[in-house]
Amino acid sequence: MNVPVFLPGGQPYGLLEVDSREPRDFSEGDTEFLRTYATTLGPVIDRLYRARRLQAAQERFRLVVENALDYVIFVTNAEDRITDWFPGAEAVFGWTAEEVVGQPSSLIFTPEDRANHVDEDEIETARREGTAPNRRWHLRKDTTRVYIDGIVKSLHGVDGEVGGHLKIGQDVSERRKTDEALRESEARFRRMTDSAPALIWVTDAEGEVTFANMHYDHTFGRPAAQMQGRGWEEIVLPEDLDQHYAAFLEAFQARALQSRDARARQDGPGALAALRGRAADGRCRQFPRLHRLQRGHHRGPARGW
Amino acid sequence: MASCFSYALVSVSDPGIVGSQRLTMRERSSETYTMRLGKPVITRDIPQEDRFEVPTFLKETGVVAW
Repeated sequence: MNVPVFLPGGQPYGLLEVDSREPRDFSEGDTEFLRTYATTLGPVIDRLYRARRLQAAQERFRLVVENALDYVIFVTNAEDRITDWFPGAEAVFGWTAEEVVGQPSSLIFTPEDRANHVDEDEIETARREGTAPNRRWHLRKDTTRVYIDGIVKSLHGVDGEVGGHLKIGQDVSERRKTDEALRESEARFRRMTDSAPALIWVTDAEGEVTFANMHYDHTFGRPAAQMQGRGWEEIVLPEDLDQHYAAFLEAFQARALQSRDARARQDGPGALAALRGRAADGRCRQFPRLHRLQRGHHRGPARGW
Repeated sequence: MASCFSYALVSVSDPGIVGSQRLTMRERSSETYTMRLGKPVITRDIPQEDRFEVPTFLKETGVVAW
């Protein structure tokens, strides 16, 4: 007798087959027995398959989180206590799983952030929005700090309630320090150029202005930011522009000192500026330009330095 | 629906077919017939059977009824 086996939901799986080497009349009882057996088999087979798939998924998950050593990954419960602490978290924060499981996740927040309730706010945002960004300095076991760029994600239980949170992030301390050093360096450069009694700007390899110091604000009554690109075309008098541009190109291409007068529009025509430029290092191909306003030739009211 | 069958019989004379013998659903076998019907199918004696063909490997086992 052949009896079909169906999985829950009615999907055909296979047959339960009982054969005989003698001709045989299968009875109603035989049929009923095998039918019952096949009905029981379907869900059992389904559970076995599910268990195998679950096991394979867990194995993949384990492989991923245990090998992602550059990523902080850990899980907290509804009370925000750590339940799973993976090797990446241990590598970055220095705490072992044994040390932190059961501890509140605020353990890795800096004292300042804890005092400002940043830990509670973050979880509250994640509960409300589903996720919350997590970009700040955190505390290591050895009390040094590590900048984490990551997110907090709410984990929902079968009842739909928030059952905990998943935190994933990357240690970007080095990048952060480089960025901060660069910002400081830029600020220092700006302060230096702003304190020099001269108009100073820097161009890129194409001759487009990428930086202008604050004296442009004072001298020409326009924000230095407007100098970016070809802003000087707005400042130099139209009749002087061709000559000015040619002189600039000549000096720019020669990477040489250049001195040329051009009249600026500042407060009406006639303000005269002597233009001096010097190419910077050939490799960076930038062209800092010093623009010194000649007070003696200057007919309009001079503001600034 | 499954596109073919693998045999998992345990009391056949040739255990080599377990896990390796495959019947595609295109064949006119009692297996495909049963799956399409979706109900228990009884064959009392193969010589009297005309609803489907009996695969050679099954005949070789001496099976005549199922």
